[in-house]
Amino acid sequence: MASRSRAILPITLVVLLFLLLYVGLFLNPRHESSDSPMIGKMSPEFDLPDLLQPGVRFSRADLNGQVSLVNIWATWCPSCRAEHDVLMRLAATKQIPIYSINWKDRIESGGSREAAIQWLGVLGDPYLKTGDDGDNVAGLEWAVTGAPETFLIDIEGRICERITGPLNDLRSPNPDNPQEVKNNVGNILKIAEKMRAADGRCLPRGT
Amino acid sequence: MKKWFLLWMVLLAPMAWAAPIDSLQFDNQNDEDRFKRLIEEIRCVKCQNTNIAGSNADLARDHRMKVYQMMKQDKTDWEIRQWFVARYGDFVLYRPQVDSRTWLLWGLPLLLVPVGGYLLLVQLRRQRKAADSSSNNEVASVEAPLSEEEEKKLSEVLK
Repeated sequence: MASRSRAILPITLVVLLFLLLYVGLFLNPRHESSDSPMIGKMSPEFDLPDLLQPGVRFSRADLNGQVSLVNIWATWCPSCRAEHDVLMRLAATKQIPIYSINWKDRIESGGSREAAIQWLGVLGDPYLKTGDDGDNVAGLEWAVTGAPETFLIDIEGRICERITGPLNDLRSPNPDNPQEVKNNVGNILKIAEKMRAADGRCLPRGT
Repeated sequence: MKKWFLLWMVLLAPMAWAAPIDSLQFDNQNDEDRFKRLIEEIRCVKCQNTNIAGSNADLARDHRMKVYQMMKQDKTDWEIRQWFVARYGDFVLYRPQVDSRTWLLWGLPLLLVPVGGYLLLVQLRRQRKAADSSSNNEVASVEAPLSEEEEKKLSEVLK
């Protein structure tokens, strides 16, 4: 009897260990963008020359007093091209001001400032202002890890949401899984609507 | 002509696989070692399973330059690590920092060594005691004189 009760402890430990490993099998080993420490913080200070308007600057002050989007894009990024149509449609609805940072569009990354200007000329310009961040100065402060990336900013300039990868609307099914329809834009507009209905600040996390 | 071109390409090919090298100037060997140590322990956020020292990613190069810049600005190791943690989260460091959430992770080995040592000691003592008592029993069984009854039984068996 004594030997049986003594065996319980190691067996329990082994069972617990197996449970832990089993649960681990189904966890996503990749780091999630929703874990970003930037969310809930003030957007970083930045001051960039406007890509299209000489002498104009795009800085944090532009973001004050409104709920807005800041989109990170580059001409060397194929997903940005796919996303551009969605941004054009979103801009046409006039539901939320969209700003952008043209990120690392330089020869060494496979783009250029001229290509960026041409991109907006040919495909249309959904942005109120576009900062030229060819040298990744603002990008480092915003903790950009890749393009495209989109931030939802509250009226005080705080970062409420961060979407890594292209924004999709109902017309853009997930290419990897056509059954799944992502609708980032719809979600963002809903959140922005709720924010404006309240005091314009970020919604508390988890709502 | 084509042959020479091919040969040239073959000779150049290994350069494409060479580890990333930035031409950075350091004042002394200490600074260079420190730089190498820092970029070894910062994760590349673009290619998540390598550090910025071993990554060719564009963003990793920007991060190496940022580390270099911050060193030039006389930032401490802690400040440099903090710059990365504030932007990318704890996961950017290969060695988690000791804080209220990670003390158990770091402290558990220190805690377990004395516990294990104690358990080992207890077990050894118990075994020694068991060995002692069993050898005592043996001696006792050999040396104890037989009782009268036992003598009788023995002589009967031996008949």
